[in-house]
Amino acid sequence: MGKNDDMEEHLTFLMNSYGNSVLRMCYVYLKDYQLAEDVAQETFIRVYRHYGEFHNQSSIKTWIIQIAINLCKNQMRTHWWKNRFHQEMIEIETVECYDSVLDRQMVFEEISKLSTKYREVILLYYYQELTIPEIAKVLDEKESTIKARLVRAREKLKPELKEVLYYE
Amino acid sequence: MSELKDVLNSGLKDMIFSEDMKNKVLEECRQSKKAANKRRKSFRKTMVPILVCLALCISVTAAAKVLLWNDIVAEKYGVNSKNKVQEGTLNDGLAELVNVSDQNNGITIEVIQTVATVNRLDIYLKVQAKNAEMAKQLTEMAADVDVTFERTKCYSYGVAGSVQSYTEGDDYLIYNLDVDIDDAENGMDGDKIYLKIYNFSSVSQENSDMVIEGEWNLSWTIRATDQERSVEFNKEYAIYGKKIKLQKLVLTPTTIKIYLDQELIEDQGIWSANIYATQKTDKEADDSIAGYIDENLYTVEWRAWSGIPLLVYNGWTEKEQKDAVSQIEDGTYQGEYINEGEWLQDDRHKFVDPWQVTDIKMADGTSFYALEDSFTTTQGGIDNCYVIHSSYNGYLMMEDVESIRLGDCVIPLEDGTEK
Repeated sequence: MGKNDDMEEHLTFLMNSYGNSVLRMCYVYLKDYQLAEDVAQETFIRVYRHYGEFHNQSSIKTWIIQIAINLCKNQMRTHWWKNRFHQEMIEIETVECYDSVLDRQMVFEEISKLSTKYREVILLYYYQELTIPEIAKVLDEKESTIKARLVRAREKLKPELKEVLYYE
Repeated sequence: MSELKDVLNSGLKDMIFSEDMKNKVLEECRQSKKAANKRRKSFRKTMVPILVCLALCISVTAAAKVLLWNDIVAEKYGVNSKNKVQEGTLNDGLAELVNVSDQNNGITIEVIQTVATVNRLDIYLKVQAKNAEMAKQLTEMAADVDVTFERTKCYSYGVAGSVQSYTEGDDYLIYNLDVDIDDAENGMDGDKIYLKIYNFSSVSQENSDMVIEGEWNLSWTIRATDQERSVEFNKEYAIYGKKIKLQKLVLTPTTIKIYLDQELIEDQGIWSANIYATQKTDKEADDSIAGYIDENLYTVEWRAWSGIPLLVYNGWTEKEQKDAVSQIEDGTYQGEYINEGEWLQDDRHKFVDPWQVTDIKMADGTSFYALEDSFTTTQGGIDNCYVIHSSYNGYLMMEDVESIRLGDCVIPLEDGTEK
């Protein structure tokens, strides 16, 4: 098997492993399904092109997320993105048997309303389950900054949501 | 923690990184590999004659490069002293160095470069801050911009800006504004532009109150190239079984405009299409790459946010549209409707954002992929056409474009009549 085939096989493995979570994270970042799809695809293209530069200074997952976030931020910096109409949020089906303390739709909406810098730490900490040091590396910020943002993000969410945001 | 992850997952569970997406990624990676190999061969092949040419007129060429291209911008457009692009832009007005500036509130803004074709003007600014800290703040900010010309009309919404180049620790950044030209009948060349930049405000909501007030006024005379390749078709084609009528195609070094019959498109609802510009086969290619055809890929798609087929939507009043959406939300709508989730999965009826170009590939010595700052707009009602207008950062060798692919349909330019 040639070198190219090995890399393609590896890339496929990475897409199978992380594709869904990258796509979903991009969506919550950009609030736009098609953009999220495009950015998610571009993320893995970049992974392919720059794989030689990955020197295991972080986990591969962290590196992929870092690329995805940077691409999301590139999109968000453009003026047209700032002013465009945002697609309506996808509704979450309410599951009858779910714990009545939580309204899933409300939680999702509240998270999506957060500003980018708070939303991203919530996503990376609770959804991607990265550690504080990993998040600091992904976002190129100090660990103290990440901790502060997590605190502020939780404060900004409604009081009834705080119960689920325990801090380990 | 697991509950919040569950909430996020349940809200996003329909989003799957599909097999189609994976295949697109893999295909893109293969193409990029091929293009990189071809560029290395092309470079070797053309290097000797160019070096000879440079030896004869090196002082002139070097001076021309300094006059026409800022280094950072040149890199973005794939321009260097060794490729045809540099020769192609000498003295034709496409790229011009400009030296006007204004200073206010500790910030100096200087216009360093313009790249101007018939349809589009790219302005590159050097924004010099008081210090490195302010420069870093500016990377998270955007300014309001007013653009007027003495005679040329531009789209008021077409002025988009982004940070082009910035290095942590520097006290300046390079900023790019691109302006879409509405009426280029008389061309931009020789026209006077008035650029007013004012009030940088934060785009990152964490420091949303941060504003750097000021007003910077810059004015200069535009140089623009009139290079254009216009091909008229008035022919019907089929894309994924949908009939379209291509009226004409207009290429410039930085834009492509595709004029499609509006009535036909609207009658058949909204659809998605990938647009490919296919490079001619290089007749002088050596045996190892003979017959190889590389492609520029533009992806252009249309978006609607309701899921209601356009055929039904046409002709409705705003109230009728709102009523229909309300009925869909409460489950009482009786008309034809496709659930948004299903709509997004249907490749034939996919509504997506028209404001983007996702990817471009070149095989002539320049290359760029999924240009972050490129975008595509669509606009109806122009001479009864839908116009797909793709602007991209790079330099398209227009004369080497052999065909355009829309979705599964290849349209050879020789089908049309060159104007």
